[in-house]
Amino acid sequence: MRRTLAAFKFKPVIGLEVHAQLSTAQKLFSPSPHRASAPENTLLSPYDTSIPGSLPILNLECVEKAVVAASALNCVLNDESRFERKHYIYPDLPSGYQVTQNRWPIAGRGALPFGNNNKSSEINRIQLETDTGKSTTRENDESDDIQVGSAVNIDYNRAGAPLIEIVFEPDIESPEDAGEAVSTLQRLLKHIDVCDGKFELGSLRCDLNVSIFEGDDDSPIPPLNELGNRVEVKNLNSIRAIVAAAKFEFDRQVKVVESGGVVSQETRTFDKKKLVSIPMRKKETSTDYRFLIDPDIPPLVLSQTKDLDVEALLAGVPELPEQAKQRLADEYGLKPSICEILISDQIEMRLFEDTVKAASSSTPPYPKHVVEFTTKLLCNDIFALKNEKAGEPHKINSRQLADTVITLAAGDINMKMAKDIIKIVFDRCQRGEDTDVKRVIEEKGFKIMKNPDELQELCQSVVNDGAFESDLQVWIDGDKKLRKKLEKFFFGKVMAKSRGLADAGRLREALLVVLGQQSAKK
Amino acid sequence: MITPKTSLSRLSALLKSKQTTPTAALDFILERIKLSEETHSLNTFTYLPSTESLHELARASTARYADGSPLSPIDGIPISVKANISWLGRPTSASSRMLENYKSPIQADVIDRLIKSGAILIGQTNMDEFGMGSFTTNSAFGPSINSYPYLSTTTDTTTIPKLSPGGSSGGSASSVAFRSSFASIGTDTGGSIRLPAAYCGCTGFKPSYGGIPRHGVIPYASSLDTVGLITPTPEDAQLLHSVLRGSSLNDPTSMDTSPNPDPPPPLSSLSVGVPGSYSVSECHPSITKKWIDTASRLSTAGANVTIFDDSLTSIQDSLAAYYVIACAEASSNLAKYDGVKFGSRIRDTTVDFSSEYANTRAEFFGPEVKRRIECGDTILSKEGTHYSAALQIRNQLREEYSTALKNYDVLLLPTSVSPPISLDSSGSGFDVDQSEMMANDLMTVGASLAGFPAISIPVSEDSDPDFWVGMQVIGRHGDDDRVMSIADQIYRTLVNRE
Repeated sequence: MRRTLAAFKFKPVIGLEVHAQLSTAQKLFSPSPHRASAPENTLLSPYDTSIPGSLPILNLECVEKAVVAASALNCVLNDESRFERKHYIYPDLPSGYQVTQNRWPIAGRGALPFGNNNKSSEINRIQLETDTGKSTTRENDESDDIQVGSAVNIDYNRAGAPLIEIVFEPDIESPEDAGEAVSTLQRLLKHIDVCDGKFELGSLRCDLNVSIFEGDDDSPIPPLNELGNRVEVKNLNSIRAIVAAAKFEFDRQVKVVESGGVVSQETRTFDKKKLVSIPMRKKETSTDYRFLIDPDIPPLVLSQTKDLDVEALLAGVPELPEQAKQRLADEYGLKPSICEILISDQIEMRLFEDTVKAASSSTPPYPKHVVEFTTKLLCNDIFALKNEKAGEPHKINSRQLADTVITLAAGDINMKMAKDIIKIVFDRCQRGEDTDVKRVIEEKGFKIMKNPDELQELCQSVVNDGAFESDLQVWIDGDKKLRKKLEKFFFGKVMAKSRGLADAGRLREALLVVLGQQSAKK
Repeated sequence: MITPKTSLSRLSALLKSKQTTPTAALDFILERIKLSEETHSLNTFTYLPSTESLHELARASTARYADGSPLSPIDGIPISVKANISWLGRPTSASSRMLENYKSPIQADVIDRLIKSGAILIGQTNMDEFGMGSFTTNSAFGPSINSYPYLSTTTDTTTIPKLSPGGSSGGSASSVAFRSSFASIGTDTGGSIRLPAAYCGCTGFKPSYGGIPRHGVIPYASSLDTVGLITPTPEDAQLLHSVLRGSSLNDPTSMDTSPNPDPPPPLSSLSVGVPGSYSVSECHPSITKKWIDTASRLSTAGANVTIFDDSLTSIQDSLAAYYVIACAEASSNLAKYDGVKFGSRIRDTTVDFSSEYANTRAEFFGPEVKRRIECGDTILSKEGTHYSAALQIRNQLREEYSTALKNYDVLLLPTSVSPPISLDSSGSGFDVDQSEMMANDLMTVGASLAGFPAISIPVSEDSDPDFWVGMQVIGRHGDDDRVMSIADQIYRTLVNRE
């Protein structure tokens, strides 16, 4: 639907809230595992179904993942944080309250850089909390009343699973940015092994807060009290849905304002099929959660937690994607698009770096052609072969790739040979055969002819070939233009005779020498 | 050999020296249970295991003693447990219709420890529903009757007064007093061990908060609930405590108190503080009299007894602070009872879930429980300000108790403000004035809020009509052993029993 000119006067402001399920062996306060695929009600400890007398036992691994996430997002880590009970009634909330960190979260202010052009979204806080069970009719959140007369099954497998909620400031300026920010976050959390990022399994859930203000492209976001009422759109479970929901909500709010109305503050859900947001059935009186510091859970003090060494923990975190991207550009002179490709796969990035280093030196600066050859062979050839095998991990190692690059850089083979070598090595590795690049070169006779004497001999044999006597004569006669043509002609013939193994540059030199000798004779 | 006057320690010694056997002890207990429940209808118990199963346990224990290898000093000793302590395979109802048929899938740590030590769990005792009450008149299974008056040998039972045994561990105290068990494990949130112990003429010990793990105890107010012991004498409490004490990985709020096997200081170097601020006008004259009496007798016996008026000044607010915190936590802890996962439920497919939830709870919770939940919900609501005020008072009180206990080894004060109510008039006690009942907690809530160890001991001889006046000995946090040994010393000084 075409926007009216007036629509260009408005801009969206988007604040994200992301719930990420921690990839831990156990739940937040009980020893049960949590998996999306398990049969209903099979992953339960007494605490998960609020058996009276059961008590919460905090799992260290969950704290560690939260600490790592906070650090990766540049958040202030709060040494002391507390758990609180947030009360509301719903059948998939077994104890009648969620355990969360409302007033004293584990991490405070931070930021998530995303996209290009130095974009980032500021983070307000990160809090640890428990997940609810699942009911078969519940698609949205606690605001929905279950339909009267309908039978509802409750699966408590997910009850008590560990979540971190990452609350962002309302500082995102377009639906596309919202999608990109969440996509970056998803990748980051996967990279540091905090969350598997699988939207489709519910590991990642996103709520959007959208409001609008009048302004054009360059207008900065005004302070909070000058923004229109914000609308919350809950439980978006794909990047596509996030972008679509933000777009729809912006358009809807603009229409409301343009027709003289006021956007009401409310909570909505998103229909994935129709791509529209719809109001939730519950009346909009905000729920009173009656927050209570959980008396069963002592305060969490990181510096006093047994077996928790924050420093050691953070030292073990892999380099973050954004940092890696920058470093690859700086140290290897790679283009952003190539960096982007490499950081998406830890293993391939490692292969790249190990290869370059093995083929040249252990520290930058690295020779340009080594970098170039490695990039080409990895990103063009190896990745293509991998894709043919449905992306199965390949087994080519850095020694093999480096040997190929070294030989190529030395001019002992050409690029076509290098590609062939890669294919052969790839296939052999898939079959589990150990393979040495040098042996492949020998087997296949991949060897560039570089020796000037050899090359000259070869040239001689072609130039003096009776079949080309007239051509030779033309060259001797000396017309510059014709000479150029004949040099190309003879070059092609010699190259063919060498079965493509002649080094082009040296061949050219040798040919000129030989031709020169011929003309001297006459 | 075993009589209703035999203490736990005495029985332990008799068993150890093989002058009697667990089987004999069990037979004795079974007779007492019959007398208590069938003859006098005291309604002490909510559940009794089959006698065959008990005999089997007694036989096994007897064999161990014969072998010279008892599991612990309480091996073979019949003990009862309060109905809010999860006992695997048995109905753990907390005397509520909400959990009337609930069989817990978990077992409380304290019961694990009892079983491991060879004690024989002979029954589960009646209580105020979910621990809410001070007279055991708020039980879904009817009130329990104070057994103490029934110890007299008079044959005309119609003249025996029907009194409340106190609460919420009324059944526990009654079972110990009558010796239908030699000890009982209960819980004390605002006085629920100490008060019934006093009313039934027994000893009731509330450890430092967390001293015995809470895992498996049906929660009322988590930051106050403390597993405690009711026994005939303080020495018994020491013995039982030594077996049950210690933190558990199942309960992060549990803690280890340092064992202190030293004997108490001689009376001449014992300093006892008597907090004058607890001398309130509401105090029944019998109580005041006994308090003064106890203090002066101790003084005469050589102890340094001092009445002090400073430092404990927040007690006026302590009762209110207690109820604010307790109700707030209770409303949270009881939110889980929706009948979906366990417990009673009214199924009604013509209404939505919130209504079904409300109807179920309205039906199966008793009136006092509902009252406290609603109170708690209000306290925690957005407009509520009382909760943070109550927390401040609590901190204040903790400071004040600490300060007071720097100057004295222990504090001495009564366990209750009024006598046990009579159950005769209404027979059900449902017209109890609940606020009056709450006011009775004044003496006990202080130690609950502060989390300090407190033990109520009887200070009367057998035939004393004011048998129900108990005296509390309160000590420093973590100093449980010393508090008990001092209480034992005081008890021996004042009382001629056994």
